[in-house]
Amino acid sequence: MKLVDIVDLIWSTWKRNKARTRLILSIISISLGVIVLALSLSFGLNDLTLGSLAHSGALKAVDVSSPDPDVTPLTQKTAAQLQRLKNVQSVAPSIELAGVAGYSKKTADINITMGTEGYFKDEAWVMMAGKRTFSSVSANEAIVTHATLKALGINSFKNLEKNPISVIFYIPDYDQTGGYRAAMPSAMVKKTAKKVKIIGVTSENYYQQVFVPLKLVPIKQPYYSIVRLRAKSQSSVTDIRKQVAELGLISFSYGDAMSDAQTLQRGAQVSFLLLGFFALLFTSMIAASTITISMLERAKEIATLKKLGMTDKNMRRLYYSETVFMILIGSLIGVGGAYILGWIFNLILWIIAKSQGAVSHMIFGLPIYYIPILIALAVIFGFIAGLIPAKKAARLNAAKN
Amino acid sequence: MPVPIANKETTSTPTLSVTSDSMGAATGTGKPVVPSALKTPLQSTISRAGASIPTYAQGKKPFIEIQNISKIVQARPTRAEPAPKITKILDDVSLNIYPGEYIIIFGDSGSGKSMLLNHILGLERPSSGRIVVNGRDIATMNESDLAYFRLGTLGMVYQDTNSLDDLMVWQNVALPAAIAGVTKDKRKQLALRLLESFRLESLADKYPQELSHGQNKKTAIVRALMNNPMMLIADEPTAGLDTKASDEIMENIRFINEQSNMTVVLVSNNPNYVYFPHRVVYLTDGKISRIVENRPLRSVAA
Repeated sequence: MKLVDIVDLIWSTWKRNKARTRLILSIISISLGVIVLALSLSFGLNDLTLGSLAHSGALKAVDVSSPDPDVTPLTQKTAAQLQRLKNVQSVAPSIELAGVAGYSKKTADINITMGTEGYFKDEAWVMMAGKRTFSSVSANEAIVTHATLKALGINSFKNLEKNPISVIFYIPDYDQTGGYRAAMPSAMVKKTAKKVKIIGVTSENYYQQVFVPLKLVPIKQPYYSIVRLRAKSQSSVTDIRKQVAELGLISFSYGDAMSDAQTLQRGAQVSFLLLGFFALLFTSMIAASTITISMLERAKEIATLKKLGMTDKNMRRLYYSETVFMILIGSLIGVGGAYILGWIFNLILWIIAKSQGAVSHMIFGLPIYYIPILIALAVIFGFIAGLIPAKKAARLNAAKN
Repeated sequence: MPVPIANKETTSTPTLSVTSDSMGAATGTGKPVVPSALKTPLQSTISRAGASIPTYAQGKKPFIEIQNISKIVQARPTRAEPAPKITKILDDVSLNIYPGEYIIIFGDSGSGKSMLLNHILGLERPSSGRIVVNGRDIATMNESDLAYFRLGTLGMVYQDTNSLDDLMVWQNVALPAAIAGVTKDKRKQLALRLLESFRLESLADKYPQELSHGQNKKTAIVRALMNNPMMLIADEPTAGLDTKASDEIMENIRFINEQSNMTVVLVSNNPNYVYFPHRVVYLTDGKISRIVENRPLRSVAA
């Protein structure tokens, strides 16, 4: 019997048994669809968090701080020293200050980070709205965390730039102390107020933090809290960290954290893939058992075909083909449908984010090459699953049916 | 190979062109007409061991030789009957079937008629004895050989029509050709021509459920002829039919035998038709109790 006739026979059977066909296709497509959505979500979240870090060049950043700022504070001299280290491309210092933010009648205690563009460029921000770079090193601009906005009672991202907030900077008077002091008496702190417009909002929901350009408020003798080094390449990060340690300073690399996080993320993805694999296996088994039940219901039909002269080989081909086609069509509907559904969901998020003036992210982001892999796997499992009904059909005693 | 011809006055009898002369005894009334000469058997032979040879087949080579076959089945022990129950369904059956012969295997329910047919089809293996078809022992055929044997040599009409409900009538008729690998266009053409020759062309695009039982039986006969078999086997083809429909079916089968000289083996428990075939083989409790020879084979007698 030719394959085209086998397909014809299968098609006639499906057409005449629409309810059964739809039921089996639904089981297969829904199971596979759920697998694809779960995998898409896993990949999407990965891109959302770690992906933004990796793309921003944070993997080449090394944050240098002092183990005891009272003894070895980070000064302009230290920054210059760090700049001279081997394989260091650039140096970007930052200053941490305490402060108060105000908007309308509300105020909030905040931490202020003053930094250069080079410093903020490598921050692992996930932006909810606006941009992440200042127009100049002394611009009256600020990037705030979502927690700060909420503390100030600002609930919408719209018109942020048109409604500036006030920021009071608590700047230590080092002339009075004669140098850096970790614990600073309030009498030795000068207050400087600035009106700044919010140009960006990060997704941080816990810490009330405001980021401003390094030279927004002039500080006579700056003591840096962190000096961020940028390595020439990611591979030289370890070497730079060794040199930093030799200077008696401590360092932190995003690369390490990223690596750990990526390992965790990969572990999660492998778990998802394993889950998908078993779900696929389970789906194939369901398909096989459903087709086997359907085959047993059609025992008389099989007996007729055998009595008419269909060989066992052709009988096996018929049932292999039926299972494989069923799983192929089911997986095309399920995988394709879930992929499209993920994109529709992303689109809805994008529309909502745009209407709120926020930055949108893709929550579902399964790489396209996973689609043929999943379908191919489903078909392979289908072929294996098809062995059971095919074998049963071939062994059926035609004389007794 | 029966090929259709036009212009036949009856509605129930197929129009097959054959090399032999007359159109047989078809009357178009739906009732079989039994020539008076056939009502008196030519010869009766009782055979218990060894196949009987009808007078008209002396010196001829049989198409099928059934040699002393027995079939013993053992029922699984149950709580009610823990001892394994052994039943002899066929008991030392011997029968030669000659080319062009029309044989009815007659017997009550449970006499082993269908089991004997299943042995001829190769669907059952005998416990002892052998069946030789065209000089070849069925026992030596593997599954594939048997499938091709059923496909190319035999045409089978079952007690229940065994139509595939998912296929239209023409597709059911064309099924043996599909299994044989004939292209769709070609087999459709053949099936329609065959249906036309049996005046069933109007049913071609219907599904078996839309047909009466009698119509389904007729299409089953047409399907059995699809691959131009050497032998037609029918297992109680009139079961469940009213008298008129039964007569039409039996007329069709006799017509096929007479017009195309096709060997026919038919199983029945209806005594009305025992005058139709060349021989009637009476089966009782798995044994051949007697063989009645009704009339000579035309080709042999000529």
